[in-house]
Amino acid sequence: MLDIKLTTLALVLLVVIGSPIVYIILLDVIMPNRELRLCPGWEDNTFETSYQKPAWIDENFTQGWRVIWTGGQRNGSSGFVAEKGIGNLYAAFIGFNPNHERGVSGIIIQKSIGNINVSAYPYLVIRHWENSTDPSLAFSFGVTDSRGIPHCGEWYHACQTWAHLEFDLRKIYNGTIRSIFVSLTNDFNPSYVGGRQHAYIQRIAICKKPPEWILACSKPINASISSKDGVLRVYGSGNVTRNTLVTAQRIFAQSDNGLSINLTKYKYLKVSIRTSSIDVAARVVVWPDESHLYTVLLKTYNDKNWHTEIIDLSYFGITDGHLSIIELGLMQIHGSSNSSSIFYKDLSLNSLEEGG
Amino acid sequence: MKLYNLYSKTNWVNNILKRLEIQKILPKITKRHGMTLLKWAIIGYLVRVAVMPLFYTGDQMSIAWGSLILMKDHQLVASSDPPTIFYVFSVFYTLVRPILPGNVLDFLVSKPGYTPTWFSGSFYFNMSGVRTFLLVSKIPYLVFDFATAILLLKLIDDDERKALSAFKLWMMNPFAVSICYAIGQFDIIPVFFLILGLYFFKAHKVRWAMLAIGIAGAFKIFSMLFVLPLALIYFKEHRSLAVKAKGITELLGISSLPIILTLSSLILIPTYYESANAANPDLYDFNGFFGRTLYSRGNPTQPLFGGLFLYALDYSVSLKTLPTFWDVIYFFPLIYGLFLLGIIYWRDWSFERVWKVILIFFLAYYSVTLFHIQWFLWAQPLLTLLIVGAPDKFLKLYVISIPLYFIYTSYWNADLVSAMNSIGLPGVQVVNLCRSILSGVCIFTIFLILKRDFVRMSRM
Repeated sequence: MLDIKLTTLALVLLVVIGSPIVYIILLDVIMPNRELRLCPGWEDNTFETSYQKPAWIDENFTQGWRVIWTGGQRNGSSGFVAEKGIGNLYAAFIGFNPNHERGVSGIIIQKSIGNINVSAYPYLVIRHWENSTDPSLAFSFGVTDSRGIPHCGEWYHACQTWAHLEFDLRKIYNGTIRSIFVSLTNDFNPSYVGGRQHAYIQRIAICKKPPEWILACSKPINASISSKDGVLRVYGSGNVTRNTLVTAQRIFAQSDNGLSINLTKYKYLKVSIRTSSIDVAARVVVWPDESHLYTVLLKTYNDKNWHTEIIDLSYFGITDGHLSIIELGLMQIHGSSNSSSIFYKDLSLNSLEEGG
Repeated sequence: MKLYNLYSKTNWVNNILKRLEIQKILPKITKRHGMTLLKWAIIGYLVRVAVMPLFYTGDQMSIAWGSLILMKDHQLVASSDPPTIFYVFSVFYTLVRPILPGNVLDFLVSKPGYTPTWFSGSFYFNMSGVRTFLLVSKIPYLVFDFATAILLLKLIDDDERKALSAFKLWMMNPFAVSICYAIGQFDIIPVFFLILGLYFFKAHKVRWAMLAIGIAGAFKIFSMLFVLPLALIYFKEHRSLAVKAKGITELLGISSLPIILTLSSLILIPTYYESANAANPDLYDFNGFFGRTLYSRGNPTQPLFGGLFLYALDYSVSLKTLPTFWDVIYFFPLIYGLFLLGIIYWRDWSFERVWKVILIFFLAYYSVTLFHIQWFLWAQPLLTLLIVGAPDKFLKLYVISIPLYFIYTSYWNADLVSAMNSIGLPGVQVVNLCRSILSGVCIFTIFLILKRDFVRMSRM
């Protein structure tokens, strides 16, 4: 017959129950856990989508622009026209221009903008692209002050994708300006022969603070981006077909060489997302430079709750020290006649730290 | 006087045990060797407890997460693991919830989405309270682990020396310790039910045996491979084909009940919507829903069924007969076919032969098929019986297999391979070499078993 002594039973229970407890306590004392946490190196929780008090803006280019200079051109080979809200600046390049002291060819256009105090409205914003990436071509701008004296800005190489130029005018003049000029020349190489080249301009503005996030859309639908209380809303409606993309882009300006951040350290992108339906996917894209893009998130959710995503950018091979563009957008998974929205908040790039 | 009276009154422990009829459950050996068994049980327990809080794997984390989702949201995660394990653990977590660290629970049920998914493990394993969570999470494995040990004692209850050896060997079994308590896989549960099935089979309670094996199959489908062989063996002496057919059909039906119930539950319990990142460059990590479609390893499929052909065919050594033709011979089905044919043709079936032929099948499987490291546990109880039956023959082979197995596990843990590469050794080839030798050990063990127990058979 089984005969268990009470003391034996007590000892066994002590070992069975007590030893794990003591062991865990000892482990926590000898090898305490150092919890990991994400520390932001860069973050955006305001999502500026509108121009902050622009003093002047032109998004159709139909009035006021005039050609003030051409060099090395023949009749009809250069000019400026507005086509569906896009300004088309064009000129022909046939080599060294003997009529110019440096041999430069090209075209300059100008528009009066009234008197604007640069110290109050310092930011010039131009959205443009060119039909060539030839390094000889230069896109440039400048302003004239109240006495008509021109102050030239920087030269930029031509770009075949939309370029977002943002420039602090105080670097070239800090006072009252009254006109702006834009040029397409071969300043980088006056001997350049390339025939007719075009620069397309979508927007020029002078503002207190430009929008950080701008809209891009893959199809002609009713699309918009807006922000309220730190939440970015990306919206599309009107026959949103499958694979339609609507995106808010934050472009880190050419003039600053992109967002300079140590992506080897701050490689964890974190963002919170909420979607309007299961048929639309949240889409996050990262451009380390203007010619390479990485889709790092494409996810659907079946509820309308907030979902936090943490993405290791190095997993996608992104280790460059700069970020050119971050996109937060939507991709329609199933076509819908209803509207689709995706909300984003608390975007950040983080490092992984111990303790705390 | 008072002390004597106290002792008499405190014999209530034995009174309770008597009323519970513990005598009938415990093996006879406990009468004479109870203290020895208790000592070794404590040693085995302490070894296991030492390992439990120190290790975690993605598998363990997934089981915990799926079970907690079921507990909290009453939804089932679509997984290659059977829903049965989530049912077991969700009940368990409900019972032990008061002692579980709240921060770990919160993290598992509402954690952010991570890309890559295994990145979440870095946060999980460094949380305060995770050691308690890991230890508590592995308690169910302790129960089945020790229950398996008791079953081993009962299976060889007539030989106390062997039973004691088997118990000691099981308590110190490195495979059981690493698979259950380091890796945190649940294979000990179907292993227990398989051994329980064999125990019932030995006691000629074949319906109970089939039910037990069916329950094992509800956790891991491999157990169902033995339903037909055991049914064939049981009805071997019946001459009437009609009786055989009816009996085998009945037994197949009984063994299928747990799986049918499990599959039925999939209809009743809603599926948890786990979002998968379609931008993930690694298709193997693309598991979950995108839109309304469920993906498993990048393919639109139900993960519960997606693995059947993968494990049965793709994992097996195979031979293409003509390179330009689609004729392929897979070794795993070939071995199973030989297994069934052997059962059909052999007539002299003692219980010892029954479990040995099952062990032969397991060893053959390991030798020609890629097996997940936790699947090596399936054969361990039978290997234990084999070793204690003839330690002079089989103990050496068992000891040799230990380092070979742990090197084999490097297929799923690149650290050892990296370490070998760093000292100038070709890491992958060393692992392949050890794996090949392990196959050789398995085959040699099969040879010895056949020579000892099957060669001198009466007739076929």
